[in-house]
Amino acid sequence: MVKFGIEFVPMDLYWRTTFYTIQAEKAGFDYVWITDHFNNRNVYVTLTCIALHTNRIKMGPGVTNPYLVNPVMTAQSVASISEIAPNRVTLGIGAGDKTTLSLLGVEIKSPLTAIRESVEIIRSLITTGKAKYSGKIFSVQKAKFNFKPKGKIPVYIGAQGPKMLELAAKIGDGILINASHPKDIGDAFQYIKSGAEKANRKLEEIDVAAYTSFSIHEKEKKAIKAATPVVAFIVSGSPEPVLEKHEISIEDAMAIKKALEAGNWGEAFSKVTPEMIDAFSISGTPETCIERINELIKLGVSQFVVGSPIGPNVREAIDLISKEIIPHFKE
Amino acid sequence: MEAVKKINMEKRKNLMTSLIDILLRSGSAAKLPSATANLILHYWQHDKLTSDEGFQKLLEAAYTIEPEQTIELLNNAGLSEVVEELKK
Repeated sequence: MVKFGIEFVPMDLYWRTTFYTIQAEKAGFDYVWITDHFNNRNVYVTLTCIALHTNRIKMGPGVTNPYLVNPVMTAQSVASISEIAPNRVTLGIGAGDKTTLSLLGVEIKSPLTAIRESVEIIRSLITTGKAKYSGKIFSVQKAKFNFKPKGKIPVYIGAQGPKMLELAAKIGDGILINASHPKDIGDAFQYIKSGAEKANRKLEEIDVAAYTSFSIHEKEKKAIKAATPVVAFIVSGSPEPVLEKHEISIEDAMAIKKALEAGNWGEAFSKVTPEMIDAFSISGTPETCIERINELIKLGVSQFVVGSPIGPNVREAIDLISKEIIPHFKE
Repeated sequence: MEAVKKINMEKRKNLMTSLIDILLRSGSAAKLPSATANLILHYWQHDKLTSDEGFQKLLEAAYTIEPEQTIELLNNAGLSEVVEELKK
C-alpha cells in the first residue's frame, strides 16, 4: 500500500509548521519531510519540535546536503532526534540546492562521491556510534558518540539525474525523486532498476518516493493559481533536456527566469502555461489528483510526497487530502 | 475564565476552526508568546483544544494576535461575556 508523505518549508513560525504536522499525522500521513536551507529556520530544531508533539508520523530532513553540514554533524543530529522519537526518524540527503549554496560560495563538487561517502560515514555513526573513514572528500580520524543511537534511521537519497538515481538504488533505504510527472518518474525508474540490479537488490527493498509539487482545491483554478509561483521557479531552474522532454520552449523558460531574477514576480507568473503546470506539479481537484497519483503508483512509486505549495490554504488542503485522497488509496 | 466553562461543546467545536484560522492566517502571529504556542500544540496533539483549558488558551492566543477579529467572532457567536473576560 502506498505511503503518504508531506513536505514543509520552515519559513513559517515553528509552531505553525508543527501545527500542520500534527494535523497531517491525524489525517493519516506517514512521513513529514522538512526542507533544509540555511536561510530558513533550522531543520533539526523544527524536527525536534515535531518529534515532541507527534506520536506516530515518521520525520526527517528532506533533504540535507553534505557540503554545508558535515556528515558527522548530520549523523549526530538525526541520532539525537531519534532519542526523542525512536524508529520515527529518517534521513533525506542529496547534493543540495545550487542556488542556495552558491549564495554562500559553496560549490557542489563531485556530488556522487560526496553522497556515497557521506552515507557510509553516517550509517556507521547511527548504527555503531563510531566512524573511522578515509575518503576522497571526507575523512574521519576517529569519531565516537558519547551516547548510543536509538532505533533504526533509514537513509533516503534525493536524486534526479541518472547517475544519482543509480547510486541511490545501490545504497539508499529510500529514494526521493524530485518530480511530479509520470514521464520523469518513469524515466527515473529505469535508472533505479539498473542501480538495484547492479547492487543485487530487489526493488521492493527500496522505498521509492515521488517528491512532488502539489496543490489541491475543490476549484481547479484556485489549485493552479497556488501552484503557479512554485512551477515558475521549477521551470526557471530546469535543465534544457527536461524542458524538451515536456515540450516546453527554452525561450519561454528563459523569459520566466529573467523575470524572476529581476524580481518581476507578476510577469514571471503570468508566463507560466498550463503545460508547465501539468509537467511540474500535480494541481487540481481531488479527482484530478487521484488520477495523477494513480499513474505514479502504477509506475512503482511506494511513497507519495505532497510538496509545496500543498494548496491555496494549507489547513484546508490537508483536510481535503484526509477526506478525499488518503482514504481512496488506503481503505 | 469562568465564562469559557459555560460554552457548550457544540459551540466550541464550531468556533475552534475559526480560531485556528485566525492563528494560521494572521500577519501578527510572531506576537504570540512561545509558551502559549507550545501549550496550544500540546492540546492540539492530544485532541484537547475544546477542553476548558485548551479552549481558553486558543481564545487567549487569537485575542493576543488579532483582538478585533476575535472579538467580532465571539460577538457574532453571542459570547459577549467571554469578550469582557478577555479584555480584563
